[in-house]
Amino acid sequence: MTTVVEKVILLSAVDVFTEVPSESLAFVAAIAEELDLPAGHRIYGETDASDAMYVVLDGRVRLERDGREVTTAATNEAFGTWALFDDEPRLVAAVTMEPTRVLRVGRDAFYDVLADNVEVTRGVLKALARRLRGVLSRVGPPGGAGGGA
Amino acid sequence: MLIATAHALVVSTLYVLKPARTALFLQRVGIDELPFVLLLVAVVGAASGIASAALSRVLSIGRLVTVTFASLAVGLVAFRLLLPLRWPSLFYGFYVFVNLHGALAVSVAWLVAGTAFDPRAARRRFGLIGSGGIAGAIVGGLSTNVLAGALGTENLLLVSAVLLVPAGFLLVRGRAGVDDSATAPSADPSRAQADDATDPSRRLVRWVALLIGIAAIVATIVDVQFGAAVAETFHGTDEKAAFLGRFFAALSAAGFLIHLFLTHRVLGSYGIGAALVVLPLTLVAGSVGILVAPGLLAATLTRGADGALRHSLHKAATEVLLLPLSASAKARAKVLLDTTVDAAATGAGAALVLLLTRTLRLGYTELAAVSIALGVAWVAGALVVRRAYVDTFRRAIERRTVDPTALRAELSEAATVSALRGALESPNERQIVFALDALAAVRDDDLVAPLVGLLGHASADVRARALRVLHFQARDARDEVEPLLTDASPEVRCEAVRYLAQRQPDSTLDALRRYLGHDDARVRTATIRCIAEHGGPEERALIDDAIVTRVVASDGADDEDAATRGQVVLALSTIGGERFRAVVEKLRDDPSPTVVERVIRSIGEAKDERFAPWLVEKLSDRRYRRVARESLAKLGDGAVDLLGDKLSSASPGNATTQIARVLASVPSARAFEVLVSVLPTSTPSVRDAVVQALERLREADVGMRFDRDIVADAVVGEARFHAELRLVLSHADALVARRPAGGLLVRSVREQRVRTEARLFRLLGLLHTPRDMRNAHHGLSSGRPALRANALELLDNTLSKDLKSLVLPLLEAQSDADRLREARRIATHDLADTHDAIDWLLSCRDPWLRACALHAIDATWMDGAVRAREDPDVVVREAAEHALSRLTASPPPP
Repeated sequence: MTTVVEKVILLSAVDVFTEVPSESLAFVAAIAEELDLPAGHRIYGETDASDAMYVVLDGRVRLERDGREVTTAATNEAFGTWALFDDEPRLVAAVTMEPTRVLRVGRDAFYDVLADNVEVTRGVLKALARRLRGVLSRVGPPGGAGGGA
Repeated sequence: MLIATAHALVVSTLYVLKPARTALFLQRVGIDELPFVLLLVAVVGAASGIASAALSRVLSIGRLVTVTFASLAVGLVAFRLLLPLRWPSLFYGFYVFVNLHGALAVSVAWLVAGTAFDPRAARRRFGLIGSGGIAGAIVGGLSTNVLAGALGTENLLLVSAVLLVPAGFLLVRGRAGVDDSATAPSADPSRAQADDATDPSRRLVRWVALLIGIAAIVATIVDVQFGAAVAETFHGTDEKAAFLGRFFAALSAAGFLIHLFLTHRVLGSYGIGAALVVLPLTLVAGSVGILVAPGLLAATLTRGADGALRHSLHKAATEVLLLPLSASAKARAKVLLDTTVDAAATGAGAALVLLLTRTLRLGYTELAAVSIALGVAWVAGALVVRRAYVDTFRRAIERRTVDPTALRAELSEAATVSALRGALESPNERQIVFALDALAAVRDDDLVAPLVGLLGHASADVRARALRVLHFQARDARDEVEPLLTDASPEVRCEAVRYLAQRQPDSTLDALRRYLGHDDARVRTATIRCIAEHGGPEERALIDDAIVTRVVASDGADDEDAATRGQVVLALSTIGGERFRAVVEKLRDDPSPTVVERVIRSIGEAKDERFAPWLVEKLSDRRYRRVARESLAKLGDGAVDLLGDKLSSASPGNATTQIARVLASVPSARAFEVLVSVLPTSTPSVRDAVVQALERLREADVGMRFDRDIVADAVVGEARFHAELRLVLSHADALVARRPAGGLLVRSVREQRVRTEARLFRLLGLLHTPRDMRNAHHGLSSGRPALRANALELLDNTLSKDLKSLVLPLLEAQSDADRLREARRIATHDLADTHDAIDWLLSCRDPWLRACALHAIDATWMDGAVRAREDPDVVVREAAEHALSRLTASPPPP
């Protein structure tokens, strides 16, 4: 059984949560459910509705599109993160490669946490803004090299 | 009321001074010099506008009022003493001074009004304040008529100086309790520039500026002509002043009557185009009169028409022109138009008069020809600006850059309604919804056809809103609405019942009774919902025991059934009593979350404190948290003590934050007192929520009554906690290395230190000016030496001796060694090594730090882990169990 503090350690490594204060992250940890999944279990399929993000506690998960592997999520790695922010269907399927334990953060419960905890909201927005700034600085101004928005 | 009275006094001083100013100038200097002094007024007016804007940025509004009114009163006394010297320059100076007096005193009074009320309250109260101004103008003008003869014109200055004292006092009292920081100007010039660059309404603003410019030039010419006629007709100063006093009083009364009976009618029936051309056409007619029959009568009628129309109908039409602008664009445009454009155009008018009378040797009567030419250009410009207005308005609707509710409050203009009517035929649903929102409560027969057309729209939202607007129309559309009684959308059915019930030939109550017994269950449920949402006590009484029993008994999970049960309890909430309580008891455990949510809401509506403990329980359930918070807030002081008890006893976490948020929504001194009382015993995270709640209540100005010593003790506690966290962090390297949670522990301590510092300054903000403390905190955290020095200086001069000696050295220390030395001086624990630090963390008041520390201990702290199994906080207990199982499974450290 993973404790709240252990869940916070795992979640604080996920990109969108890096700016959330650890104590506030405990509210996200509190809604994160631990799931034991057998090998070959399809966590979600391509084009499934996006409804949760996952962090691998133990085991490996294959992320695939049209049957071809895109990447593998190993222990302590997160996948499906954008489901928390995006209504669009999944782009890849997620299938366990061996008996795997994952932490699941459901989107509806996450929105409730956002609504009630301004520190979590602020941290997530900060991380998203930082990510956007990173993307813009990589793209650079139109017709020129370097620079940023 | 205070501000309205102050405004009346301010305007009355102006209408006492204006006749005195004109009479003295005409008598002592002469009409030929009037254009020069108007030119001077324009130059000094523009300069003083800039100076006043700069001053308002430096001074608080309270101080600005005091400085402005004191300076004006002193100035008036000085002029009274100096005018007997009869130097011509003094009369120039006095003329300019009175104009400045008008601009500054009235502008400061409106500034106070504008910052004392939120936009909703402003809409309600600005009418009263404006009426106060009109009353002041009438009384001031009439008094001058009497006082000029009795006291002498020059002594009118002393009367005005005396009236300024209570006016200033009332203004300061009128804004007592308003936080200046809330009205501080935006400090983001880049944003303003960005808005400018993308503002689609610039063409409209340019045209409005042009019209205001022409209007000011014509007004200057008419003013000079009027002055010449007065100077020629009346010979003594007191005669002139008495006539001018009567004239200005009559002018104000005429303006008031036009505003009352004509403005709304012309704007509503004939539109903005007609409203804009009334003034120029009247002035053209008046100028023709001056040419044909020169003399006092023609000049007085023309000047009177100008004064009466300019500040009523014309002003309202010009304000409507700015309606399509976004709030920020409108604010910027108004400053530009009301100060710079008006002053510059007045100056240009004065220069034109000088050119025509001195260089071209035209008489004052011949100036009327120029007025006529400008009037014709003005009329043409008004027609063009109307087109620009409608175009801009269409764009604003498309882009939805105007707040429909703000629009609704000012919607009285035919072209605006016409543009919105056009938007009802848009293929874009959002534009239709925007237009329907803006048109709510507008009565216009031409709206009925498009509204009926929308009743068949694919969107239920559009159908329901169309019904709402249709509700206000005089024309009957029952035949078209009847089929919507069985619409697929419950909201549309509810609106249809509302519409039809109020249009039935029998009474509304009979119609509702009939619908409640309708064969179709959808009509029955829609009627219950309609009664719950719109009905008064009489309508709600229709929901009798038979209906209640039948609906409550149908505990089906079907959405429609659940919605009906929820509507019944909401409907009963206004009746209250035992029947309501029985229904709440029955339905609060309903399987449908919709019903439970309605039950929670109804308790708030009924203000039934008996269910407050159950509402507090619901704060822990995320499905009902928001609505439980709102209902508890509606219980007001009745729930405050219970919430205080829960806040003191609840384990930290979401519930405590929720309770603090509820208390922050109860605008009462008791809520403030209860929040302060939990400060000494609460954990840091609860204190975070409590301090934020206290700040919100302070902003709401609930009339704080609290024990300052408790807050001062809390500041001392935060300073000590901050020092101890600093001492823990001096062992950060060793702590990070501890497994499995050393890294998280150190990160959490760092975060807590930052939050403690913020809390400390927020608490200081309760004892001192919040804005000062926020600035001080910002300065200390900014890392900029100048800001830091200013912040320390501010604290040094603000804090009490005890707090200063504790807090300042802690914040002032620059080097790590100094910081640690100061932390040791303040902390109650030495924390000399890592062992001490972990001991302290395991017993500190922050449960999150205790839980993290339990994940970083080894077997040395086995006893601490055993004790932590009894911790009041669930996360700490979980961490203790985890630590014990980890430590018993692993070998002890060497």
